[in-house]
Amino acid sequence: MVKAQFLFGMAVGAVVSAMGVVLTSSGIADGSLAAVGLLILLANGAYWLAQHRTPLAALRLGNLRNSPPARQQGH
Amino acid sequence: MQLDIVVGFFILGAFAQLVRSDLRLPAGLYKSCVIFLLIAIGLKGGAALSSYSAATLLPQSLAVVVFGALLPLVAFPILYWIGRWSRVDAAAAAAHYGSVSVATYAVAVALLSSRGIDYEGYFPLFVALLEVPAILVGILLARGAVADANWKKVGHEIAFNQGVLLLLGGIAIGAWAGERTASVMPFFGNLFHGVLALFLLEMGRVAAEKLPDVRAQGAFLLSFGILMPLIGAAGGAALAVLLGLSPGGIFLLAVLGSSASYIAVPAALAVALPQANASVSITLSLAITFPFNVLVAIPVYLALVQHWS
Repeated sequence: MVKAQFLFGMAVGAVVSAMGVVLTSSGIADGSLAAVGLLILLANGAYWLAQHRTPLAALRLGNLRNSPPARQQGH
Repeated sequence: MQLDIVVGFFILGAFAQLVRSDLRLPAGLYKSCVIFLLIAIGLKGGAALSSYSAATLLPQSLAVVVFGALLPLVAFPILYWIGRWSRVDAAAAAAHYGSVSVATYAVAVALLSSRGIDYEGYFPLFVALLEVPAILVGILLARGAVADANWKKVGHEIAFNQGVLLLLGGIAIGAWAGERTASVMPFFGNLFHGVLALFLLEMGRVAAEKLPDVRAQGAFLLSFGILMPLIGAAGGAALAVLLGLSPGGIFLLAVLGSSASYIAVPAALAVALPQANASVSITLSLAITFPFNVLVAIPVYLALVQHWS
């Protein structure tokens, strides 16, 4: 997932949630549209985090390997 | 805001798939349901057509065709520039969103009839008309990325695919027979809701079956599959207001703008754009947009139309 897709997803989620909240608070519709907006926000956030957790973990592992004690042990 | 009873069968079908039940509509019965629904919608529209003049229908039909051609032009840049899809995949998916889903339309009609809300009887004509322009626009958008399409084969697929043929055939027979359609209406009219319920049972199962594909494709698919129907519905409702349609008509044109094809367009694009990834487009329209429309959007559109009228 590239940054543009993530930002697009968050924007869509925010707009749909806002529409849902407005419709719900004015008594026109129930909360289903707001729930869908929230689902989009959560799904985009989860995908973004899942994708960026792996490189971060790898980076951390790389740092550990390059740390002085690791280098001294010949890793 | 209440869901129509037929939507309950859609949820049941999805539930059956999620709990890995062996429920499955026989393929022949599913196809029979599709044929039944197309003929029933066409016949009803055709019978109503005789009470409208060509002066009313022609400009409205032209406006609807232009609307159908514009929707892929909205969807394509989102898929191509933001989604970073290939040109041919973006064009193919965009074509799905310019075309319509007869099942979604049927759910909307069932909801209107259960609430006793009137609408322009010639709407099935719009359903048939909206099948075509998006396919042509989709093929044109993909130009440059693919070799020239075999227009003869594509034209045949567009004009004579099951959906268009049965809808237009039903409309023609209904218009020709007029009041004589009453003799077949005990079958095509009274059983409409029951057959739609059976059809939606299978659709719910198929949509739930595709959920792992949605998960694999990522969150962009979900975002686009929800945004695009809302854009289409806003456009459809605005056009209906401009055309001076009744509240029921505004609702139906919003639903048509909101829906995405998953039968007619994939069949035509399999011929015209065989390089396109058909699976991702069908997942988008069938597993995201169709359930969203049936479960969430259609009741919201009706509530909005009723509120403003």
